[in-house]
Amino acid sequence: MTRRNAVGSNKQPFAFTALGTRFYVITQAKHATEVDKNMDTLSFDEFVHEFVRTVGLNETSIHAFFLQKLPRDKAGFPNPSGDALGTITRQMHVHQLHPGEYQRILESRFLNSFNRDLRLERINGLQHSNKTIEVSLYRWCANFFTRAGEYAYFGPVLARIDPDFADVFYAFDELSWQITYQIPKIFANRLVTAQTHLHQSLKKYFQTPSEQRTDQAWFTAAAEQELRSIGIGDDDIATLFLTIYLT
Amino acid sequence: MLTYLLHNPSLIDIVRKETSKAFSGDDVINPRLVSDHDLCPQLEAIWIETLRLSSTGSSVRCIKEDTTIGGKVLRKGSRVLIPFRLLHLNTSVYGADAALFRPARFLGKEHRTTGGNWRPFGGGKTLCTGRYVAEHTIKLCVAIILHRFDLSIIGNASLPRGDEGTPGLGIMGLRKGEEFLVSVAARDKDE
Repeated sequence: MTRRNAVGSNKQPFAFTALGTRFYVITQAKHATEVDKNMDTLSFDEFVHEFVRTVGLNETSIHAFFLQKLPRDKAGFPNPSGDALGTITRQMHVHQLHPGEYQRILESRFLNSFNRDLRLERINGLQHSNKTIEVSLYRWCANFFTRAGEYAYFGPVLARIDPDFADVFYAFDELSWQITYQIPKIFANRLVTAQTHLHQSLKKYFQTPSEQRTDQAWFTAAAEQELRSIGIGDDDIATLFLTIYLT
Repeated sequence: MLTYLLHNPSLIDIVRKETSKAFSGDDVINPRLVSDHDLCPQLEAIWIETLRLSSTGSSVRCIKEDTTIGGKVLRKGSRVLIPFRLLHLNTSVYGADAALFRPARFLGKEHRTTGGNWRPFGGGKTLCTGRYVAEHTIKLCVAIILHRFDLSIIGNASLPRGDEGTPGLGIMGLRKGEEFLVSVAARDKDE
């Protein structure tokens, strides 16, 4: 790796080259704002496509999801700009997560889990006779919060299909940087194992009849419906949801 | 947040007092209170400061055409990176103690982003969609834990070091061997 430091008294972006690719590094907030505002010559799309390709989405589904523009008068979630489903899905997620009724409902689903799990008898640790529990703070927080997120999006059905989903997802999350940095699979065994496990469980989830999993987030049901409407099957639905859930 | 609170215990009762009206007994009756920046300014400051010190993500873009940023031409075909930690630990913005946990630096601040120097959720087209839910649910579970439990660090564990060396999409994990144990007891709220 070679590094050429172009930082001078004006603190311009500096450049370095790694594995044949030149990177410019922004160190000033005002320059970061310039990057944020540039929707013309700076793009994130290629990273997204590469990310889902690495996670296993096939080229046909990548095209259908990201590139195939849908009619403005399509059924389902409004599409006044005639965007592809990838853009529409982000808008749907905004609808779920930004301040409003759907956000409050989702947050109440988190609260259901917190109310249940943040009790002394629910903490999985070493119990002492003076009614205290000894536990790793890091693991305890990871445990209850991952489960809360799983219930918020997928209800109780996913945990019934796979009681280990939350734990495996936590491990996957810790290793997910290997996807972004495109570490060859031969060096990312633990990631691949976790990813395969999660994918299989999500596929079973989406293969479960919808009337048996009505206790889920609005986004989960609505996005699944939109994906099926353009012909995306269980395998790729599971891949896309794993990606969305992770990111 | 809990780790920083345990290592700055004077803040624990402050947060408990701020968030007390969210509860009746052990029950959460007003969850939205924890996200009210005016009613819970200390909790808000702790949230901002924790993310400032713990974020490891970067914004990244492909450069499709030669582009001028900061007066410098960035060449087509390259990548541009905005590592959040470089902005978050900028001493010209945050002072000589930028690397230290000092949530008071954000008390009374009108804009939490401090001129764009606080960006744990990225920006532009890739601004994190989940930032509102993340803030509310994390503040809520911290409030619930502090309301229902007394926590104490077991042994003489010092502030754990984060794993700065492993890239991440959000918050850094702990370096190997830095996990620590806590004793959790039901809190006597009559105290």
